[in-house]
Amino acid sequence: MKKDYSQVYREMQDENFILSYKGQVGFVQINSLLRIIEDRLETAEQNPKTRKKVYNIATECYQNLSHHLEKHSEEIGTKGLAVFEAYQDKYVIATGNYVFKDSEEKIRERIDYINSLSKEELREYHKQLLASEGFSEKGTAGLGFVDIARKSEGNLRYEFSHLDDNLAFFTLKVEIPRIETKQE
Amino acid sequence: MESLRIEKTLNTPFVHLDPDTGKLEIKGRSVPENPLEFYTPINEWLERFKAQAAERVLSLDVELEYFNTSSSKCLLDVFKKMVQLKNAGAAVEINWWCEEFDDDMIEAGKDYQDLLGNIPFNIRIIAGE
Repeated sequence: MKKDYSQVYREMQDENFILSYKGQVGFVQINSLLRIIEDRLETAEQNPKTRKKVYNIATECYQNLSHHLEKHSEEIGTKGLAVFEAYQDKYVIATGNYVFKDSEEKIRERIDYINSLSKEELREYHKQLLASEGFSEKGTAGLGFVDIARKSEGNLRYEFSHLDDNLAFFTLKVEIPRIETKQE
Repeated sequence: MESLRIEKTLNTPFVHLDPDTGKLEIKGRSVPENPLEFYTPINEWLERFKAQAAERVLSLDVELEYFNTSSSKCLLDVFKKMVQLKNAGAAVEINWWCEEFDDDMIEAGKDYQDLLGNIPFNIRIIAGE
């Protein structure tokens, strides 16, 4: 059966802009997505502070996704989900990828801890991680979630949908409110 | 000693380290996949400069539009090298340039200020157009 894209278009009309990507999330693909988002923000977002913040958070979320897929590469592929949604009142950035049970526990602990911190505590924690020696084995500084939480000033929302005893689909979601800019 | 010049790319900043004038610049975006690889030549250059650091004046201007968290760690290493150059006898300052509206960039500068302590680290606002 043929897919009716006019239907898809109508469904998408309510929102300003939606980009939804599923596939390989290597550095090259992530860069292409970020280019599209940057172009789009350039015309759609009047407030330079919001524009920069949204682009920054998107970069961190998608690069984070890209880095954290690698260890699963052989068993469950290198594919991931990257979503960007622009609404009248907010931006939503989401990522999705498969994780194993033991990673799930670690991710939960980490995000719950970050979400439990006040703004000032988060700042101190960030500095502490920044000052600690070296990089993780994945070449990241372990700062991704903390940075995203600080910049978005809101809780990181996450969800695990279980596929079986050992595998879950991990979704991370960040919302950034749009600041009204007065039109002269 | 040779100067170090790296042209900017979509994901990495323009870099110019001039041993004659003591002017050091890092400008643009720093969102590479492997920041360690990008920043290593910079840190190596600064390490080599130590031999002639005494009595020199060094000014590092960092003007970044965006930087990812793994770059933030590499930048701290660069700043620590500047502290070492100061300890080796150079007069050193770091200027962290931010757009007026960019609270996240200003905050990041304050974090570095806290972590470095013993070095002039100035948060400067880029003049608006």
